[in-house]
Amino acid sequence: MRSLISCIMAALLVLACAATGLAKEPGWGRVYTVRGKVTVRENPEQAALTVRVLKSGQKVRVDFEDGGWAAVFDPAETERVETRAQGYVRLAELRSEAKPGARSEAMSEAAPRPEKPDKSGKLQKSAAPDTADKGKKTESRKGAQAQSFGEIRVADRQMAVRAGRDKDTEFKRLLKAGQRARVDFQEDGWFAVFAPDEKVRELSRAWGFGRDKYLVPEKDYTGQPLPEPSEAAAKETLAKPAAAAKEIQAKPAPKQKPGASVSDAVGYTVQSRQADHLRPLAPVVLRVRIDVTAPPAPEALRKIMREIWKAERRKNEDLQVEVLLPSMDQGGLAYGVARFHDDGRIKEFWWREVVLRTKR
Amino acid sequence: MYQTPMSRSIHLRTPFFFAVMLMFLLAPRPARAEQKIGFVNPQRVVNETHLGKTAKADLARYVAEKDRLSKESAAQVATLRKEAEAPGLPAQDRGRREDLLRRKAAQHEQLLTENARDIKAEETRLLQYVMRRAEAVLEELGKKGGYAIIFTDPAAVGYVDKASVDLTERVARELDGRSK
Repeated sequence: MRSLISCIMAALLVLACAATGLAKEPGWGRVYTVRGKVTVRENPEQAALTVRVLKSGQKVRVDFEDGGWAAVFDPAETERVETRAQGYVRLAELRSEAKPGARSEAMSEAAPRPEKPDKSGKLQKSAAPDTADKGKKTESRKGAQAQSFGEIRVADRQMAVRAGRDKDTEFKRLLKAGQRARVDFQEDGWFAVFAPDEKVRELSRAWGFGRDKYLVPEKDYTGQPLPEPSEAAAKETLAKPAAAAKEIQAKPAPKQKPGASVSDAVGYTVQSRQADHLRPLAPVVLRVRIDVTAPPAPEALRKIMREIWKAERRKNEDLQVEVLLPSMDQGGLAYGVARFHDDGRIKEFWWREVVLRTKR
Repeated sequence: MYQTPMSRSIHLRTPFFFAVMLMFLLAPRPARAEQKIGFVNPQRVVNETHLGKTAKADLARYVAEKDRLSKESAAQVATLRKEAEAPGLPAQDRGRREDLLRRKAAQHEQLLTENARDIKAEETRLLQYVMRRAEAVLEELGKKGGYAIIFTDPAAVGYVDKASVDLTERVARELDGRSK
């Protein structure tokens, strides 16, 4: 009898230890328990490759939310590094398929979140709600629950909402910097703009149309109404170097090929910038040489190229980035080529392994 | 014996004529023996070398990327068509949606044309990349092996004695040796 009691006590002790261990899980991101099937994609794009499918009952840690997408990690993942993510999920899909009130959701809300590096490792504004904007965040979450279409965005400057997708069309209303709006029907660099609480996805119910680049996701908004404690630090990190030889932040992809490693920072030199004056709609081609010892894996290359695009794009130009590796011919075939949407998402990306096969 | 000046001149010229003919026949022989003719099939170089196979894989990936864009665009057109054809729409709204659909459909057509053009251009670029390296091998092989001409156009060659003339395998081997 005594041994039975001691066995039960031991079992309870083990359970208690396990529970303590779980409680000491990293205080970042949110843990969701999936109810249905949720697709995990290679990149935060609907058209990206499916890398896995989360099944009912599976727990995942979710962080790095951006534009309705979030990176998915193993729940036991301790390091908050995006490159360790298993892939990306659509938040709407995850929320609809995740158990409400999943355990770590509350935990992560209470815990102060670390400074959030963006996909390339740069420091960005923290997405953690502080006491000042907690109310706003709650409101935004309510909005997300009621969301039936599109997404909520914030005007990052005072901007006009017009009757059509053209700056010459009739002025409808003014959106102030920091004002929230529901957006959808993205086309030709314009969003249809709705009232934030609009539930009917009808163009006729829209306020009008606004330039998509001025309507940023809430968490990316850096203006007055959503002050960020780390703004100064973020600005400092994001400051663009003036010299031709530059350094950007890039991290290796989660699925790296053996031997292909990228250091945390990748330097690059602009080799040429060419615009085709005979074809005004053709993209401006920027050729850069990146300073790496081994060719980066495609996923890391995507991130490097996105950072280069962000740093080098002038005004609204359609910039095609071509990456050369050290000792490759300046005029020869590039290793990686990428074209982008206006908001910085990659539209087209390909790489050529044939250039790696030639002894240099 | 009576000899005319003419017959004397013929008599004198005959050995000289034979000497010249002999020189003509003998002299070019060594040069003809050194200069050979070769043939290389570029398509086989692409199909049978690591470099060529990698280029083909690169092209396949590029085509897949373009396909993805086309499908994405086609899906958008389909969505817009569904929205434009939805029953019970006010006339103004329907007109706006149909206008949107027309624009999107035109953009889609343009995208398809551009994709086809881009794929062709990329194919040419990759093929040129492989063939430039193959040409470097050919040049070296031609100089070392004493080839005066190496044909690379299968259509221009009626018959090829594979054992003596076809250099495709040698070029492929050499090219593989040069690539990683």
